[in-house]
Amino acid sequence: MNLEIHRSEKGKNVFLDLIGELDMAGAPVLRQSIVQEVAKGNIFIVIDFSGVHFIDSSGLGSIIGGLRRVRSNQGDLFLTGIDDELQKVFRLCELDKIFCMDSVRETFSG
Amino acid sequence: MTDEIEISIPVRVDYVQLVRAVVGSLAATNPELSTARIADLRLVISEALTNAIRAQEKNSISERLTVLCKLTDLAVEVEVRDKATGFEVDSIPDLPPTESPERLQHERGLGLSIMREMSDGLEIKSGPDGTVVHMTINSSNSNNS
Repeated sequence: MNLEIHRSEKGKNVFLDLIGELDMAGAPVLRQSIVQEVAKGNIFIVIDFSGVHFIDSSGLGSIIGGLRRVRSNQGDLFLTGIDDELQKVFRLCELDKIFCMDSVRETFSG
Repeated sequence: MTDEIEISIPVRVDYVQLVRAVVGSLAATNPELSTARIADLRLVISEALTNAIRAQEKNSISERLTVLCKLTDLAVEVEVRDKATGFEVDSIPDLPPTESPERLQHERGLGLSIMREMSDGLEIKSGPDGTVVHMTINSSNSNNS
């Protein structure tokens, strides 16, 4: 099993807690989950990476696509729980400049 | 110390995680390799295998992929071989600037730059009979650890 997603809601935000590795196998799982949320009108999505300790360019691609989907519906995508190893990959690809990230999950609980 | 393994896998995405785990476990037997460097190794292997799988799937080629991993005291060398139809390394277009709205239209195109940045040596030989990606991860690298 590459990637498991646990869903919850708080306020206007939908939380997707990821567990596993976000790679070529896991990316379609996350992509589909975001597509379903947007289709239901849930356009403010928080992805919690606390349970993820590996991400590659396929995984990054799935959240870039997710950001495009929610923003095209006037929503937004937030990232939390990103450890140092993942942070390094985000920085390398300069994606820390386009995603709203915070290490504290409660930041997005409003 | 020199250890070497060869792994042959089907063209299936669920095998990428397995290869990362095996190669990462082999690298962890070298006490000179830091956890950060092993993470870099797992990442570049994943990128090379992802490209290999996509290339063979695109051309409906089912021949198995080969991964070689050689571990010495000074470095880990990995090689990923596919049997796809090859590509021009220099023809890969640059992505739009990060802060440009256009950037969000591109979900792919980061793999090669990740391999370049995270490895200490990247060599790609590509032709009509397939592609060989050879990468080196040195035991110590102050830029990445």
